[in-house]
Amino acid sequence: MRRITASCASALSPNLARTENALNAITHTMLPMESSLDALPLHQHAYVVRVKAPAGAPEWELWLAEIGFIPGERVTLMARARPGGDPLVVRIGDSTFALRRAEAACVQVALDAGAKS
Amino acid sequence: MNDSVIHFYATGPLVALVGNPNCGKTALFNRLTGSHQKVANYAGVTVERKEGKLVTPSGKSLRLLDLPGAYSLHPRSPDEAVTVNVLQGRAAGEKRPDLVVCVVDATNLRRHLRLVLAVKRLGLNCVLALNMADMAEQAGVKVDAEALSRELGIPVVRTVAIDGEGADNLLAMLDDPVLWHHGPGAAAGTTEPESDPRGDHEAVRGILQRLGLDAAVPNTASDEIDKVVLHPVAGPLLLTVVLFMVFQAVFAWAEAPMSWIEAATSWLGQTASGLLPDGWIRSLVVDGIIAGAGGVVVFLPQIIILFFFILVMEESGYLPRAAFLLDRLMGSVGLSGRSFIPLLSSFACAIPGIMAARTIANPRDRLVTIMIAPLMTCSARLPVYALMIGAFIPQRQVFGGLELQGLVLFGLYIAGIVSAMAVAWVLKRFTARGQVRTLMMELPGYHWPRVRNIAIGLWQRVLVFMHRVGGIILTLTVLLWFLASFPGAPEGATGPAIEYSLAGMFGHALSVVFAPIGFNWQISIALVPGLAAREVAVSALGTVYALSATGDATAQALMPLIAKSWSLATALSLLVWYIFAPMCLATLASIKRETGGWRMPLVAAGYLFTLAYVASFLTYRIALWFGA
Repeated sequence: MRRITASCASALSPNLARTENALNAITHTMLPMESSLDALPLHQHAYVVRVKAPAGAPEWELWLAEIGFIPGERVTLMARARPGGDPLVVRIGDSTFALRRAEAACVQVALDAGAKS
Repeated sequence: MNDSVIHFYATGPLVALVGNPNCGKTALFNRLTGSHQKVANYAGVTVERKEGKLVTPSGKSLRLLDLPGAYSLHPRSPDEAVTVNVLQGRAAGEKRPDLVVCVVDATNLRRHLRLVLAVKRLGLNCVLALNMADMAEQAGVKVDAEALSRELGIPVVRTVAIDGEGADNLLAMLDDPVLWHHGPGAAAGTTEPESDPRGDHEAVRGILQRLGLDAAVPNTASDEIDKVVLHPVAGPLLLTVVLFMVFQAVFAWAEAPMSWIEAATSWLGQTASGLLPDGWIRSLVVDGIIAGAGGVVVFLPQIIILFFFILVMEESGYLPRAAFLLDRLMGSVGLSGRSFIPLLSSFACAIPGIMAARTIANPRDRLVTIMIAPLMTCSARLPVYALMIGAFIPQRQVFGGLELQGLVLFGLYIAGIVSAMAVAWVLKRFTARGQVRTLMMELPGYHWPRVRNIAIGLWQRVLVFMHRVGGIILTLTVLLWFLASFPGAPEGATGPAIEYSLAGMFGHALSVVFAPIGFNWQISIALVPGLAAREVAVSALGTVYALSATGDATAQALMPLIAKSWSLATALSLLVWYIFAPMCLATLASIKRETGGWRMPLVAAGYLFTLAYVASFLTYRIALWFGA
């Protein structure tokens, strides 16, 4: 969503671009926006807030934690397989993992506002 | 593969290498032990056990155990369970290590140090090997080994698995007697793993902050490569090209060494003929042993080339990317990308493939992978395919430079893959309702494959293959020679002697079953010893024809002989038979061991036989109809 705002803003007018900057500043100071990892825009820096495994696969919580999905860790979505957008390539901490979308959906992340690689 | 509790190098204290997957542990193991390593299995489980021997600068002899990679001490696969059991001293037939070398990737301390803390808590003597220290420095990560050592309370040594210097430092350190007796609270240590990775994670985060290593390590080079390799269009295209080139190379590169082996075999046969008196001993040595073993060894070059490419893909980090690219495709038939690696190994041999299926956490996926692994074209089929293609497919180029023979071989591989996918799809319809599958697969950074690791890996695989040649295959070739030679032809017989032998009678009986799919009695005989290992069928055919032929034909090679005496329809039917047929008892034995009962191997044999018979029948009839 924010990405769309950003590209539209810069395309339309410098005024709107300034609004976008202001928005960024607000998200910096306010509580960061949350999303699930599978819905994160590509290359958007974020960090893990919590991991909640689905009822059908409670073991995922520990498994994800063991490969680095722990609250506070930096996380970035690197790529999505096409077609279908599944699985995903995720940078977690200093490692890169391939995750199913269902697995990534267990990870709740907060946008690291402003930082974009 | 035997269950083995034998310690190959019985003397000396035991050192275990422990680390996350992809930490460069095996490269370090290779560096430390060189050719002094033995591969077997852990007692009671089919997990590969690698033990090596090393001698420290002071002359102390040590045993080194390369434990399977683990992300934590909570095992989620049989491999990880072995690591945990050995470290806790609970593994059957294994000694608890006297010293543990924790190997960590210096570019990924954040994740790897967590395991070190867990291992340390087990109360074992620990040393930390800071592996890939050179790559970390290139990425701007300067790890202060002394400060890290103070933080962890264990000695730290920098190692670079690709050169000897770091390994020498580690060796020198192993001479320090303090290391062996003053473990971090050896008596007070608990054997239980940590209950929550978060606690250790906080500790690691603290250590990294104090060492000034908290910044993210940029992974630029690998990310750039991934932009192409994982690209939605370029990625799958690249994968197709890579796999196609591998199969072309298997045929093109192997040609010269194969002709040398053929020449050597025939020279050996002639020499032996000249030395031995005429009679059954000469026949046994020349027609049984030399021809039989030679006919199998000749395919070693192809097997080496195939394994070479698999090892290079594995070493460079491409293999898990290929699994990622294929995940969606595998998902459509109810499997995950994780099944790709076992299935790819099955192209060399179904047995390591079936064993590699242990890394699949989901029991259903694992079972399905095991059941379809025999459909992957293993290298033991190559001798059969090569013989048939050589005899029946003209050697010419089509589509501007592609070998027609290579193309047909590629088609046979594809047929195996497609039928495996079809079987998996059918199984998905019946068994995969409401299943959740996991992928969670690491994509390690790319690096250049190391010649040394490839060479050691190849050598170990060649040994396994040769062991099979020396054991099962040779025994069966000789057994077949016996069956084909006794009893001899009666006085005044007109046909070739083998028609009157035990094998001849058995072949004639079997040929009633196989006549509808176009197999003559010679093929029917050859299929029987082929059950021990598929490639035996080639040497069996050699034996059958060498003995049944008269006059000049004995001197001719098998290829022109069958090209003359079989119809194209029969050849195609046999090719199709080999795509499906459960022609390998060793594979069925592995399935039994991995699934813990006779049910699955019987199911596998039954469904593969049915598939093979139906497919061959259709092929034969359709080919006949087209006038082949």
